[in-house]
Amino acid sequence: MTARKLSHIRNFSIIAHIDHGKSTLADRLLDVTGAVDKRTATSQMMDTMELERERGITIKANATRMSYTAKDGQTYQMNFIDTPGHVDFAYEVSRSLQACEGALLVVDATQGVEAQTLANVYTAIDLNLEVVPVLNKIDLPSAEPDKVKAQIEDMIGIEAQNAVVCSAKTGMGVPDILEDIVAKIPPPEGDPEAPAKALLVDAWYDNYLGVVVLLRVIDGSIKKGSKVRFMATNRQYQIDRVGILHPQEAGRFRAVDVLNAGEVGVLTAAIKEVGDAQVGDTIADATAAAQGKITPLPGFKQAMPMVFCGLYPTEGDDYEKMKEALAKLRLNDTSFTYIPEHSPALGHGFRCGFLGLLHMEVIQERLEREHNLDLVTTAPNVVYQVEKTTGETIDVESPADLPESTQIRHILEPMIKGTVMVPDEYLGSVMTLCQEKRGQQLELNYYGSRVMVTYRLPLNEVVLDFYDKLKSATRGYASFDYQPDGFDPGDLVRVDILINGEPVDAFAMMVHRSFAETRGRALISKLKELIPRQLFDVALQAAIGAKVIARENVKAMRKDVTAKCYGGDITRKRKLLEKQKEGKKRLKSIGRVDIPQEAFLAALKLGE
Amino acid sequence: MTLPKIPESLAVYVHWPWCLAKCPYCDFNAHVWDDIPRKAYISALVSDLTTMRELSGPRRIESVFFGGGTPSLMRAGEVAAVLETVADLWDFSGAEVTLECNPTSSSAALFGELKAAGVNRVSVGVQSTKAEWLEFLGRKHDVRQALETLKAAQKVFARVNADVIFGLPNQNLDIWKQQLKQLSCLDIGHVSAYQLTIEPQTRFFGQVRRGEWAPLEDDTQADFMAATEEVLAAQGYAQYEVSNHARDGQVCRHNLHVWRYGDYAGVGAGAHGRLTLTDGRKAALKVTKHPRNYLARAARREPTFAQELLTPQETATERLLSGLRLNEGVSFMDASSGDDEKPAQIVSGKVVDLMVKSGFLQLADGMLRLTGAGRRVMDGVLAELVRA
Repeated sequence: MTARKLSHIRNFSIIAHIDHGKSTLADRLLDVTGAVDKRTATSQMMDTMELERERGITIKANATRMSYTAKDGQTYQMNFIDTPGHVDFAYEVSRSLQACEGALLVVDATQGVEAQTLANVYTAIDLNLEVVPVLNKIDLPSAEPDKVKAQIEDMIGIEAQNAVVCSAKTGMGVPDILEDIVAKIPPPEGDPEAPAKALLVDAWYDNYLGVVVLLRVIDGSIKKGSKVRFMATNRQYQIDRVGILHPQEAGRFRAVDVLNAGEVGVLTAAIKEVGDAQVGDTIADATAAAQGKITPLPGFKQAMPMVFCGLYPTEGDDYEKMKEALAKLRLNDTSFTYIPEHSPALGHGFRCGFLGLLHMEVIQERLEREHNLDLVTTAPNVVYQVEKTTGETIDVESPADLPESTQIRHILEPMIKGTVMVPDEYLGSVMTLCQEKRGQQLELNYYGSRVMVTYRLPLNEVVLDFYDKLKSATRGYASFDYQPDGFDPGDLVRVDILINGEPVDAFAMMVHRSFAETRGRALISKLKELIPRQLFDVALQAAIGAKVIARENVKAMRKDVTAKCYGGDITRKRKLLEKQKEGKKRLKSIGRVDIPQEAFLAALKLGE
Repeated sequence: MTLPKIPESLAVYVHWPWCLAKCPYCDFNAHVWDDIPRKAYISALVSDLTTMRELSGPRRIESVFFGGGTPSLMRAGEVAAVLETVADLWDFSGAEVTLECNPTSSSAALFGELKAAGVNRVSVGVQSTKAEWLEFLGRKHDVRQALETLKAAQKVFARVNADVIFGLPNQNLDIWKQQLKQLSCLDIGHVSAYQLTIEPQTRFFGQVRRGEWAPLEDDTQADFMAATEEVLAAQGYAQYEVSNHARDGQVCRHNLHVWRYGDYAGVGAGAHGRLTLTDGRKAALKVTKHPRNYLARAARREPTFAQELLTPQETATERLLSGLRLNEGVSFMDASSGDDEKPAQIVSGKVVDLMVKSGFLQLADGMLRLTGAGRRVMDGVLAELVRA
């Protein structure tokens, strides 16, 4: 193992806002370096999940190795680590970045820097990565490279005048990017002779290979047959396979003999579940670890769900199927949690925890699409800390679990620090929105005609409808990013929704006292529209404890009869009844009131 | 364990699938053809009847009903041919024989011939006694023609029905009540008052969907239904089914038989039937719907109808949903049906109790019947009854 070897490795990732061209650029880099066979190449080679390709987001980390002979005549091993591209996966992003020495900051030359990019760039800078700016979409007539360069320098504080301008679409400038990677991104440092030590970047379940671990070797080498210890979970494994990832291999796996210091690759061992391979963990030589010779890599955290909701199968019979589906999904994504929950209104289901709203949508969509389930989703909520009068503090993940008000001393709600980037003409509407959402302004900075404003906001307000409102208030021009920022005491109450006097747990919501009446009223008015008239009057009430704060009434229907019914209609009518009976199962009934799925969705989307 | 008994009586429904014009509200199996293949159709009907006889065994014919389409487009000789076949196959003495008439194809002469052929009751498609509504309904006759047809029918037949439609957009309730009174003054024995419903695959359906006009609100429809019952009751008509009202001795035996879930054989394109087979099982029969296909099958001597055996639960559901349409109600523990086929088997007693307490149902002398309020929301009540 020589120093020369390390000096000829470049590990990098790409930071880019959605739609700024990350996947296209990645395809182009693979293409230029000859890493993929053009005859079978698809687009977005690095996004392997159907959902990733469709939504243009990366959910799981991925990596690939390219070989590039530079103008200096030397051949370099380039490892591209593709990071998840969304704020919900901030921790995963940070671990992917930690595996690199540099990052390409890809900015759309027609759009400029967005908030989401910013957060990841700051993470990269914090981790001491070399950030190399690249201006993409330079072929478009609306590209303003000079303005965007100035913006990058102004906002991020890195030199950008000599940034490569490129078009990932046409391939223009792509060789210059590769040269920049060689010239600007430092080679990895590490001791090839030391006992093995590696960073666990990500892990997933493959049907053929089992649990696959993506890692970056820091010191020493990783070989088939060697024994390693995963330090956070304190489990020991013998390595079955070592390889690199390649988009055109089955299971993306291409075997290699060894992974040396500085290199990126994958291993498999008899790891039972993905949960045993935690992102950010340190993989160490088992003997050295047992002797206490290995210091774990810094920054390991256990993934913490931030947003919760109840997920219920519309068909009660699907509960077991859903349970299996969740277990399967969790094989590949340990950052979401689920525990069985029973709701009088919705039957058996699960309370699930997610890193954020996108993560929630992704899981929901995968359950529905890949596992063919029909789901009722309750309104998302956050986890509250409740200080009880006994002095005990408990976490409350579902409004239904809130203790009696007499037992509560304080309710603490999770806060976030949110950053909005917006053209200055929309600043007024953004500030109004943030204030409505109980936000407190922390910072306000102008960068040319764009403004970056930072607010401290209750997460509860953000999960409700903040993002939708922000988009409509700024005609889609604002970008938004947030990070957790501790807990604050809040004047929070639980608003119960009662149908014919029966509380429907699925509609219960935690809100700030000042919003209780408007939100309660809004929800029951919506329910009034959505609940079809029934044989009996239906009373809808919103209440805080025993106090009713709003009420509505769905009048009983007075006419519902088939006027004509002859011979043939009897068959039709019977089939209709049988279908209705089936349909009834799909509706959720509270007492004798049938509540259509739309009503639950309305509760979810309240405020739109 | 009681096995279902094979009933003694049988009703026959004969479908005539042609009209002079298609009404914009009608979703029945009705077609407008320049040349009606009369001969082929009548022979197909005769052949169907023969097959039905093989399935039913010997029975007493309760009634024959010529429906459509526009059966008054049939020639009296054709009607006679069908009735002669029925009489050859079963015991036909004393049967009620009804034929539906459209004022555009009826005359005193035709009525005389029909009577000679064996018809003893006619149902006249009056639909409205107001010119603007006849036009809206796309009828090709005027008010005078409709009333003259009624009069002509009454001269020949002791039992005459008038079909009328209510619940038209922006219809005035008081004017509707006057129309009903006007009709009853004509000394008609039977009134079928149907609420206008918008059915898929009709012109009205498209118009409503395009927003050209809106049907009456359900609450207003409820007012119309209540008013109809009230006015007709005051004029001496007793409601015996959701949309049917009759003076003494004028109840339509055919419809009553069908709603009581008696056996009926349906012949002709698209006709439905219910037959208790000789082994005691109930079969749903359905004739090929499109007249062209029906005639082609008949010409090739292929079976013209499909047969589906009903499960006891399905039979019970049908017995319940047709029986509850009647004011007399449905026999809850019906003795003539098999144990599993009794309506009591498919509904929960708890739900019945709740519906009785809520004023929708009554249960007395083994009969389950809807109250007036219950009848107007019958579909909702049924859904509750069979849901559990």
